[in-house]
Amino acid sequence: MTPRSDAAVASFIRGFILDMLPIVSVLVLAMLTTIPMGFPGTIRMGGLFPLIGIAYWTLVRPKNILPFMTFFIGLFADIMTFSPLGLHAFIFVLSQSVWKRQRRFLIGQGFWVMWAAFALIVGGFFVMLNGFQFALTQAVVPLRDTAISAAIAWACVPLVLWVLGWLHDLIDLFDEPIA
Amino acid sequence: MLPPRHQKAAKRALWTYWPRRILSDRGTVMLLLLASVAVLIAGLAIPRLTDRVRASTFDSLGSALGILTIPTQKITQLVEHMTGLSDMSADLGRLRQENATLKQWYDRARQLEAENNSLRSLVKLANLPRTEYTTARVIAESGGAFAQGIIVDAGSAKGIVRDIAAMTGEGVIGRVMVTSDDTAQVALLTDINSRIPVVIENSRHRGVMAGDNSPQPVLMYLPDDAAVSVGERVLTSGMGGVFAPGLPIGVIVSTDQGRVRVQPFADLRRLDFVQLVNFGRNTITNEQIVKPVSQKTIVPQQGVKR
Repeated sequence: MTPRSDAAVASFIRGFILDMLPIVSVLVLAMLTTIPMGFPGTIRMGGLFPLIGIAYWTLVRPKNILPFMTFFIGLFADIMTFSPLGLHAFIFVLSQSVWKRQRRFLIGQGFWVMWAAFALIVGGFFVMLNGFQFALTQAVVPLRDTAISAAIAWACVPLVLWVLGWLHDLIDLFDEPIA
Repeated sequence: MLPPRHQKAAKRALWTYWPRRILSDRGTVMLLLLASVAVLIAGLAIPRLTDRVRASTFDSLGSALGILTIPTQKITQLVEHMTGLSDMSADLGRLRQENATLKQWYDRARQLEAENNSLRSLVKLANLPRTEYTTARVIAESGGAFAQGIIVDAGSAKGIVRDIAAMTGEGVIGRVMVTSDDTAQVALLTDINSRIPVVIENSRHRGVMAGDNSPQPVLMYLPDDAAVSVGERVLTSGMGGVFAPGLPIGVIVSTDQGRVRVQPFADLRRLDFVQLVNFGRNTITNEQIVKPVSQKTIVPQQGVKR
């Protein structure tokens, strides 16, 4: 191989890894959902953390988190959370589509506006999840536990965003623009 | 920087180039939403398929989940340790008292064991099936509201089969629903699909304990004239041959509105290690898998005296 083709291969591999980092980070967030945390009662985060990841990457790197990728992340979240297959896929694809339309407004906003916007994501997620749960099992999750789950999840948003922001900076650092 | 010719080639070669062109349309979103609904329906219609996919996935991710679990468990233990320091003095007194009581029970158990052996030899009772214990670490729990289950790092490679009991030191926590090579999925007592034949310790009334995804399962199918009171212990009845009789499950905590609720002895929120216990009974075959039961079918118990 010539030095030029070596450089092309190296560039391709680097580009591939950097392209995959957002997806990998969201998959790790989905796996974290299943780690035993010892929450009391029926407090459950569901697939909320991967959804926060999807929302973040949709804002900052939309080309790295396409709808079909979101669909498969949703299926993965369904497996991880013992939910019926397709449920989180539906919620994630729908949420991403709505979120994407607000991208232009949200992209330049400060932290507090972003955090407030994520409250909508968290709230919408729990409404949809509990709605689906009631439709499929006729079992009602206590409102108190749902509210606590949403509050815990919302409180975790800055931490998740901080980690993802750090990852985003890392990608920017190593990303070599191709003309 | 690469020469322009190579840059162009690299750009074209990027694996995401054509997928991006094809799959970034709005129509794709609609297509994916429809696909989600189709998968949802297929998964509900063929639950075994979902179980199989889930088992394979957890099998593949077993070691990764195990690694992720370790720091979380350490942090949880540290927090418990820190919060428990202040209660240490009170705990010491309580433990001394418990120890004294347990010593009495130990002596009593030894007497009963000797008596039991003597009676067995008298009646020439056939050997009971051999009980096999496997200790497994919890590597994942259901993060969702649809099921109450855990994944443990022992599967069919270690002899784990479907429908055997899962226990902790405190009592029964559930049973194995799906196994794969290296992992097993345990449905907890609180899972909406959990049904365990039970007996109330003192009154000997038989019933079925059913989970409804709440922290306290419900007792069903008790006799109409069953007098049930709060504080009574609930044990496995051994009916159905899945569980050995007499295993502790929990204690009755409420009988409101004819619904008898049981608080499991084991703390289902803090499961680090569990024992999978095969009592050598016949396991239910895959063809006998009970389909998910909606809460509509749970009949409130009538005639429960408070």
